[in-house]
Amino acid sequence: ELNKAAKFSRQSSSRGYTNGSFLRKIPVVFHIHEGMEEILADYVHQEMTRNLIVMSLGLFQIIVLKDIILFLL
Amino acid sequence: STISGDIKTTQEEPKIKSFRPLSPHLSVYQPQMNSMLSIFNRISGVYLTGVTFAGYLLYLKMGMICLTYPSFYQVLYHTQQQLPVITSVTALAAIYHTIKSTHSLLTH
Repeated sequence: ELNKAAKFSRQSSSRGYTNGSFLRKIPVVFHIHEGMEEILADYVHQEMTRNLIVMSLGLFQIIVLKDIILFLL
Repeated sequence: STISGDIKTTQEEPKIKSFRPLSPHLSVYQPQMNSMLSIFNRISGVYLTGVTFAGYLLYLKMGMICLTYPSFYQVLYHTQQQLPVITSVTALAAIYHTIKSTHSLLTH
């Protein structure tokens, strides 16, 4: 019984240990995106270039989120 | 003479445009507490962003691809050597960014 309780007291993952604390840091990526958008609005005056950088950053962050979620599985 | 003058002005225009000053005109104004705190808040945010994405690339992405290359091992080794410094500066930047953001949220 004790072994069973110890087994289920932690989240199971493919590596045998949990990285569930990373899940709480995922909203940081959205915060980074907001901040970078504000900085780019201040310093990049060409609208097309700014949009290109913002979209590239967004795509990169989607890939980061995908990798983090895959890493957690 | 007018034509040559026009040519001169058209030639000089891009030079002037390329040396436009950046928006916080630091050289014009005397450094003030509020502006410097705000600028450092932004700098710390950009530094934390860089550390986050560099860490992601180094530990989640590059390792899978580049561990067979000796140069990647060298980069990883030198990064690991500087890790205490990077971690300390990151912790300071994170604390500063949190406190300043909370302060500006409460005051504005």
